[in-house]
Amino acid sequence: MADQLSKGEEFEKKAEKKLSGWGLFGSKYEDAADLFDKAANCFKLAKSWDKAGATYLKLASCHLKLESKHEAAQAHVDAAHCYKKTNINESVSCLDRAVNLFCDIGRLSMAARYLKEIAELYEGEQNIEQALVYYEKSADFFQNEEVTTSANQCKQKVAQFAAQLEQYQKSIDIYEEIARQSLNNNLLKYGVKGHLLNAGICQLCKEDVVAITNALERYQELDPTFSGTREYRLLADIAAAIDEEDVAKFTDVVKEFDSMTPLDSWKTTLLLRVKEKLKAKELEEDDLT
Amino acid sequence: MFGSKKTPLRDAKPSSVGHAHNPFDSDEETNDKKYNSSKKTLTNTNPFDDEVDVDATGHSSSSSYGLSSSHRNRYKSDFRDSGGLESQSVQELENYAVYKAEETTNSVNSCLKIAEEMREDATKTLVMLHHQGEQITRSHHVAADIDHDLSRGEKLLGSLGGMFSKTWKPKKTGTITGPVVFGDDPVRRKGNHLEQREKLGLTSAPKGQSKSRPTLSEPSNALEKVEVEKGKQDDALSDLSDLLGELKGMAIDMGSEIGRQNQALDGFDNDMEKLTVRVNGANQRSHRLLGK
Repeated sequence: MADQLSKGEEFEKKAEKKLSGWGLFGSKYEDAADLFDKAANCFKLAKSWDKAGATYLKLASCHLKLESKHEAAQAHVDAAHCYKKTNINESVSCLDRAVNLFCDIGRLSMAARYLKEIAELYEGEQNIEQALVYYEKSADFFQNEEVTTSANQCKQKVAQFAAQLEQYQKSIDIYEEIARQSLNNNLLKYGVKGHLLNAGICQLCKEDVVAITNALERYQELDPTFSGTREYRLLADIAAAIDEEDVAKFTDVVKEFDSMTPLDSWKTTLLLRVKEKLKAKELEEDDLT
Repeated sequence: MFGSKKTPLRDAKPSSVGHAHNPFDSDEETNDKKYNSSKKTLTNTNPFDDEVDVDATGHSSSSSYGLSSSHRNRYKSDFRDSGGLESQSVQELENYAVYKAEETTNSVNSCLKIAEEMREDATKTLVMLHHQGEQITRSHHVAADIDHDLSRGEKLLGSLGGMFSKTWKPKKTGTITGPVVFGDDPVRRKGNHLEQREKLGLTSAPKGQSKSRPTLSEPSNALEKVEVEKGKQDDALSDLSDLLGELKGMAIDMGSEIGRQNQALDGFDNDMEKLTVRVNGANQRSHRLLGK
């Protein structure tokens, strides 16, 4: 470990020396870049992540001097991966710079990939607002490059976080759009009822029974087989329970569905919100009587 | 809109949870082991549960015809310890019939649950297959781009080499076609295909309507109880039938997609071989030029 650390520092000193000296036709930057690369590798082996990250940033600036934007972007990515172990904010900032460089050279699919990585970092830090922003950007880039599956994955994340932040309409629009796209594909059509269920749960959170009814009718038109599914029955029965302001019925319906298809944490969270609102309504009614 | 759509498991009694078991468990297992997994479900705290009194045997006290554990043990052993079926009273046999009906309902529900899980996994697999197909196509497009760039490189290499050197001609390897688009079955691909089937009356009747059995009041005698259980079993089996039909469709689609991807990979492999030959040729030419 210490051996690698001292090696790395030695390479770094040599690189700095190269940069401060004279060189023909930018060759000093090429030599310095090689030395910085070796130094960064040594720091990585020594598990000195901060130093490795800083060295990769120096390497990136050498590549920029040489007009090699692709290599510079890659160096920023390497720096980000080192900083990921110690400093998330620094990691995000490195990836952001890499994304800008990839955009400059027209490598949009790479940019999309690293935007998604930034979003994942924010998600890991429970910073849902920022994660949503970056997943949205990533989805946009993937869509431009016609990488529809990756775009849809990012859009689903956006919808999921939007619903958590109570931006239900945004979430509904995304799920309905994905369902519409999926219907025309032999492989994706089986996931349609899952997307419509998610959209329906977001509709329930808005607590507008008329809107829920209209949505269910619209989903039936969209996919005629939907009305025969357990997902449709769940939504219809919950809507009826909301209309009747019957918490017990709501609980029975959800419990029965869960006994066959366990609800994930996202659905559970949203349905609990619906239940709490329903309970509050019921209490209001009791107070009035 | 929200009429009395009776869902197949709506009136499943809480008492039946305690002895649900996996239909794929082997018969050799002890009863304790066999019912272990289902007992776990009783301790799971469902956030939607309201407080329900549960007695020591794991049955809710609200059950109208909960049977004592001693009765259940006798039923499990098919009355082997108490003189066989022939020596039982009519009342005892009626209760036994109810017990067996409940057990069958639980088995069918377990099958349905397993089929649901399979469907979910199959859906995820299909999404992954679609993603994989996209990646193959994109990679093939990149190979076609490399071919284009390599052609320009070969021209440049050909014009290098001094005045008296012979002009270099790269090896002919045939053209690189790029990805071939295999269309889906055009009939099934149409968005309104399901609608057309619906109008023709080919799709199965939506369960919401087809299964609205007249809801019986609380069953009073054993025969009624058995009938209720049979109704539940019919509903669950109908659901299971639909699910298995869907799983079959999924398997067919998986097969055809994997076949399509195999063909795409064959084409990709051929093109990559051609590219490899040309890159090697270009490298040799570069080495010769550098060696001069």
